[in-house]
Amino acid sequence: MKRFLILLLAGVIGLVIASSFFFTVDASEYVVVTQFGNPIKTLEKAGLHQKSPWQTVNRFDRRMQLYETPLIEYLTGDKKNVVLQAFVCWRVEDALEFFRAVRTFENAAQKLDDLITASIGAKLGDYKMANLISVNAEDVKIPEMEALIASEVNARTREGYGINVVRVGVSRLALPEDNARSVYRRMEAERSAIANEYRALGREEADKIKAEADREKSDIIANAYKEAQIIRGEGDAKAANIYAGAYSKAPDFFELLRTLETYKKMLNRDAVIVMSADSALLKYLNGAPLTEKKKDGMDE
Amino acid sequence: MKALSLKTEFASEILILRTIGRRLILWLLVLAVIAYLLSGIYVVRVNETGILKRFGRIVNNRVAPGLHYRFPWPVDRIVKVSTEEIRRFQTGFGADPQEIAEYERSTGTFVNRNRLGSFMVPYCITGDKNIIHIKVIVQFRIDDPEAYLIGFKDAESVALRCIQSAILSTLSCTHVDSALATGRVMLQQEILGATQERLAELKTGISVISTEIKNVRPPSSVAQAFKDVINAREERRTMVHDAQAYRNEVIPQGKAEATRIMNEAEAYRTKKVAHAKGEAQRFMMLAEEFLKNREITSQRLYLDAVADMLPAVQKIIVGSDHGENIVNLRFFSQTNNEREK
Repeated sequence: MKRFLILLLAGVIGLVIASSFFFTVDASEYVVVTQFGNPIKTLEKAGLHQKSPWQTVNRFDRRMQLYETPLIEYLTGDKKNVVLQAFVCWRVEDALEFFRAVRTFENAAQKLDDLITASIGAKLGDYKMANLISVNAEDVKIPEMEALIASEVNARTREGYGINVVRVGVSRLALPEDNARSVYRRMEAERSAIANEYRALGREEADKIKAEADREKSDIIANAYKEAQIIRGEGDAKAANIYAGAYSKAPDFFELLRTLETYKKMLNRDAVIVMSADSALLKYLNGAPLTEKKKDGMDE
Repeated sequence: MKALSLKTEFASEILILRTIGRRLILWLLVLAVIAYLLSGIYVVRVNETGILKRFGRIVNNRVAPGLHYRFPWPVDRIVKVSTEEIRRFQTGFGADPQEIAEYERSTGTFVNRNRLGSFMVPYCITGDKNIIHIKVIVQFRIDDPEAYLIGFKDAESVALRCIQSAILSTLSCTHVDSALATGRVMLQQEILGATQERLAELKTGISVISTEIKNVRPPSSVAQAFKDVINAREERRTMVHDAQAYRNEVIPQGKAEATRIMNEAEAYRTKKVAHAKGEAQRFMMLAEEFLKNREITSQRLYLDAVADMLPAVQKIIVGSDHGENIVNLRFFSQTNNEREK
């Protein structure tokens, strides 16, 4: 019994001692083995590794890290202010270099921040505002600028810090507060101009349609008038023809009838007629014989 | 003394107990070993993919769903990632203040900038330098668990930044009107394309399925002006409609007028011709009689006419015996005028 317990204890102690000779390296990390503070080897291969018990294991995350700069105001090449926020994807590439120069990720973030902001500031000086914001897709050179900044920063971090900057991207783009206010004002002005244009166009179109309608109506009536006059003329002509046909059969009778009718119309209430007692009408007043008849002239 | 006597007295029982104890420990040890070995059994669920690591080294990066065995700790480790599940997050530039408040109330924490997008600069700038707010819902899936877990510390945050960058660079060459109204579907497509391109370049292991624009709107301070444009467009349409209505009213009026004029003319013609025919007929009939007896008929007609008209007129009869023909007409007309007065 006692022997058995001792055996068990010895086994456990043996395992503990053995474990100080071995260590694992995960796929997501680099390991720098140091001996009394001096790095002696870097391990990039994941798996089980062997070391001396007095050596220390320093693990570094080899996964992609993300750093985002604060919003900073920059000046573009054409002296316009922009507020910009960028993100950086980076990873430790040379663990030994990183261990020597940077050591912690907080340090790395600080160093990256300095380099990135300086680089963005310098690069923005080469570009105009129109290269950031433009209606023309060809003018916008944000991706090109991002790539340039990334390679520039990468060149420096790779040498000195063992850091590989994979990507730099602009995640926010804004205008300083007072610029933004003037943009709001301009937007309002633009909108009201567009609204006015719509209204004016509407009025123009409506007036055009109305004027056309009026003209069309007038055309219709005018044409109808023309047709009507022709029809009336036809009527008049036909009537004249009929009258002429009839009257030519007895022209003297026509003359008599028309003359008598004309007298009737001519002699109204206001007319004064002076008649000679000798006239044919009045001849019987004087007791004339029943032979001679003569009409006398009349005066108005 | 007493203990010793007890020991000797219960010697046989102690012996039995000791053997039982020894057996018990042995069994416990065996059980512990079995339990240790059994702890290697694990399950990968249907929507998951597993990554099997041996001493930190990846042995199998796509363990299929089902029941599996691995060496127990500390040799093997399994990490499971939900690969079939479609996840979503909301991002964009600018969010409704009440939505932020709601979010904070529901979670009890301050807004997580990584998940909802930063609210510090709540807008985006379009190509024609207009400020707009945009909100995008992104649906994505993890299709490469190794890249997702081993390649990135926080792949989702990186994906979020990529989407923001995609939105930003797409909008920075878009016209505000097309972003707000007409070109929304195209914009959505462009954002999706730009996002996928960026994510593929970085090999995040995340594949974005859709980027849906939930809303795009102008900032509230200028929203009224934007609404006015829409109103103006409607007004324009109304004006044209009204004009058309006017036209629809006026043209029939004109046609009715034309028909009236035509009908009047027709009536005039018919009347004229009919009158002429009637009068001609009458004349012919009278003329026939006249031709039979000229003298009498003409005399009769003359006398009829005189009888008709003479009673109405003023008559002055100047008596004469062949000589006194000069009449002072002025005198007559004067008396006439006085009488009238």
